Amino acid sequence: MLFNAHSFIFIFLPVTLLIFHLLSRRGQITYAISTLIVASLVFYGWWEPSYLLLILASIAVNFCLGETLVRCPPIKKVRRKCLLWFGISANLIALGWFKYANFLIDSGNTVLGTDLHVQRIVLPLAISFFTFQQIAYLVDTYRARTHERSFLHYALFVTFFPQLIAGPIVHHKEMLPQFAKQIGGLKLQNLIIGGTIFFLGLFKKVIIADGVSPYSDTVFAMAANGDTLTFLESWTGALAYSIQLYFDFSGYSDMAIGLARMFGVRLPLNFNSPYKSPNIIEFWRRWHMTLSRFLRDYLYFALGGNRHGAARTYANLMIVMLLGGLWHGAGWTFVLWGALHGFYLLVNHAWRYAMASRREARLVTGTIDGATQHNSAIKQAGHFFLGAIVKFSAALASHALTLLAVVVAWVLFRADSVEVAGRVLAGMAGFNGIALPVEWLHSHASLANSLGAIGVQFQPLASMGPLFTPLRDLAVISGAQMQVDSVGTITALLSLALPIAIALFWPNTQQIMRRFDPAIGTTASGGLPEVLAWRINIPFAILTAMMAAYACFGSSVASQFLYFQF
Amino acid sequence: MNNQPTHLQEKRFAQWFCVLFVCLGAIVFVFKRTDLFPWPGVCNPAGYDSEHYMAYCHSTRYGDYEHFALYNNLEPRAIDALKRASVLFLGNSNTQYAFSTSIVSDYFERRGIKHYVMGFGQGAQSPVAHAVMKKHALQPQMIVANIDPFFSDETNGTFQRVLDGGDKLATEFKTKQKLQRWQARVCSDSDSRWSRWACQGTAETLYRSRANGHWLTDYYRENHRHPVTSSDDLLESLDAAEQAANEFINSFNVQRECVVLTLTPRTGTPNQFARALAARLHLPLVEPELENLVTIDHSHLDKDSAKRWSSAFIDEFDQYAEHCVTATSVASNE
Repeated sequence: MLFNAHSFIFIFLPVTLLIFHLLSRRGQITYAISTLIVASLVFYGWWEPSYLLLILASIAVNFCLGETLVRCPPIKKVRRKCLLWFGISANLIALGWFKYANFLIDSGNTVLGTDLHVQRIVLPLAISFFTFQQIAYLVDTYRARTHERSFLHYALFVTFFPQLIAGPIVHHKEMLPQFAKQIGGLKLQNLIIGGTIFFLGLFKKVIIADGVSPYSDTVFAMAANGDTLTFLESWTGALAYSIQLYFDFSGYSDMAIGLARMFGVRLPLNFNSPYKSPNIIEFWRRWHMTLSRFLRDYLYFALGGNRHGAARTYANLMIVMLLGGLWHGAGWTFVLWGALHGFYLLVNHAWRYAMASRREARLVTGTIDGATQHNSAIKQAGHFFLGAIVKFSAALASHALTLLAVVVAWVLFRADSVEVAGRVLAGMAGFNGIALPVEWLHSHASLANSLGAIGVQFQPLASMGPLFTPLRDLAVISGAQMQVDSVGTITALLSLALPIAIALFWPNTQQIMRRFDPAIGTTASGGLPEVLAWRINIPFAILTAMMAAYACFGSSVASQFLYFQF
Repeated sequence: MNNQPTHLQEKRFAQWFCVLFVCLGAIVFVFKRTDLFPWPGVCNPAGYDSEHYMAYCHSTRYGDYEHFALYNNLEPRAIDALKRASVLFLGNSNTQYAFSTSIVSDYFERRGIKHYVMGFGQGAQSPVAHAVMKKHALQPQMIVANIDPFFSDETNGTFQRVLDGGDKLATEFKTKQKLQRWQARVCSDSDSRWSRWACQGTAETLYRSRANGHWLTDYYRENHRHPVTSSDDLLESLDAAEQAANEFINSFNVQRECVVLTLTPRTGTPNQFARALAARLHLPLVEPELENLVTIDHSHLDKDSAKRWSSAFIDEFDQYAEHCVTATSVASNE
């Protein structure tokens, strides 16, 4: 079942809320929680009922292991360690079998020239998410950091349908206490706030992400067909995918946070405007924050973090990013994507270190040489304005470089194979030339001449390949499609520019909803003037209803979320 | 969290939200779900008459009609005309603009030959024509294919939707059919109380003749004037086009010498491709070269150019038609 399906919004959710409310109001909290677990299992099983056995077995085994660990006295260290490693191994073996068996066998066959075959294994939905959550639970139980012992609460912690399929990856520490103390009885305020966050997420997914997906799908399909992509086509595809992925996944996270809030539960924040990041380190603090947190707490720290010198720190970072890449999917493109981000992080950390050393050196020089410091101060005062410009330019360049690096890496993330990614990247680098539709400039001959002089080609839309053909002729198919003709190609480009502007400059959901503490980890400031922050009054009811109506009924199909495949 | 909202504020919010959500949701549903609620009232209704139906309206409220209509026999008179046609013109929208002229209809009328110009818009190529011809068991004696490009295995999105669509799609297009018949009736009656709702539309519209498939293009697109040029486009798709052409021709009972290729002029006309393909297939290519031809939008010939070009085409085409059709047409058409 999908959050954006009408059957979910108008049947599953209201029925679940109603039953939960009726049971809680009568004080039957245990039954209310059981209802939520059953509803979550129905939600999960809707896709493939047979995998219910897998998730139920996973919950039972991990809970039993946790209980055994709790009961095992701290003095029996070896036994406790064995139990922990058994638990972690069991989880990783299950994940490895379902997610990586085909990949490992295919790779082995390629490298070793063998011909091993295994039946294609269908990846169970959400296995990466619930495996990580339960590994964290086991590790913390081993460290005696878990205190909640209710099986029902544990089962709900794993299955709670708002976060089950694609996160946020919740931590037992932030969920189990809520189930123990806060859950029970619906509050109108929570319904309003949760509903608004849900519809914001739905709008992001249905209107923005699904709106730009035809551009990325077309370009990557062309690359997969072996077509040569020009500069404009490649960049359109790469940017469209960057926008699609962000609004799709952050939209999903918003919907999850909103749904949980309706039941009175607060989930952790998962996105904080990552495309506004000035550097890659910051990007990973803002993108899929709960995954970054898991990798940091349970992998990076376990590897030694930054406690063993620069070389070991960099090696740890690289390992974490490689495994992070592999977590997203069993394929070399994901490994390369992780490696590329690992490389970005190394460069970023090295740069920071170099800058810090330089500042220190300057400080030392300044202290020794008073005259130099004095002159520097005068210069600074004299060139304050210039300094501000330089600072602004440096910040701008830093943002642009970060964005460029991220977009380039997304090409690897999206492509079906390394070859396909190579074709798109070659187009983006301008190796296949630049071609613009002649229709765009037929009324500006001089501009066309100038561009022609620097090697830009002009071709009729008719001969520019599938990316532009839909914009020309497949304009109005039967009403359900976008309306774009040869003049409207600009409109098509604007449809990419607007979401980019929103991602870069518009406040995010948590900033819009900041008055109501929408998620765990929300920072209360920034983003937009206080007067524009969402509140419970009639003007915002009108705005919310408009957005909700458009998001609910603006599309005739419920498309899948991109992160479901991970 | 200062200034916590009161319960009354929350109730008011919920009431306003629910009422507006239902009302706006219904409006958005009707306007966005054009597959369930098509509306031809936005389309220019000036082209209806007993012979013409609305083939396409450039609005998300209506969109394409003829792909589904011709494939699924929503226009029985058009299908009858198709079945009776001895000469079929196949291709994309450029074909429709170039051959929907009085020169062409007069020529065939004079000769007593039934013809049908069966090009489709939205970049249609041979799979669309092939599917329609097979579905209705068409048996033309002669085929004129506008290879701009035409022979390929690519189905355009509009027709793919027709092929994929089930009962839901049938409902959508039957609704469109009923609505355009209703609109034609309403708009022919100046006293109708519905005319202000149904007959004020200005969206660009194409009408198709049920008798010979000609498009009525008077209500579609402004008249820009872009000169015709040639290019070496499409050469890379020569092998695929050759294979698709042979498969297409072999799947119909048409004598090979009665398949004539043509190439309607536009900006970047792929002349080299057309000549190379004709040579490989050993088929005649009728490709009149005239001075000062212009298109209205880089693709479609303007009316004057279409007249001049189709006249030159007919002069050259006549020799093939004489050989392939004349002797049998009268008998087969009776």
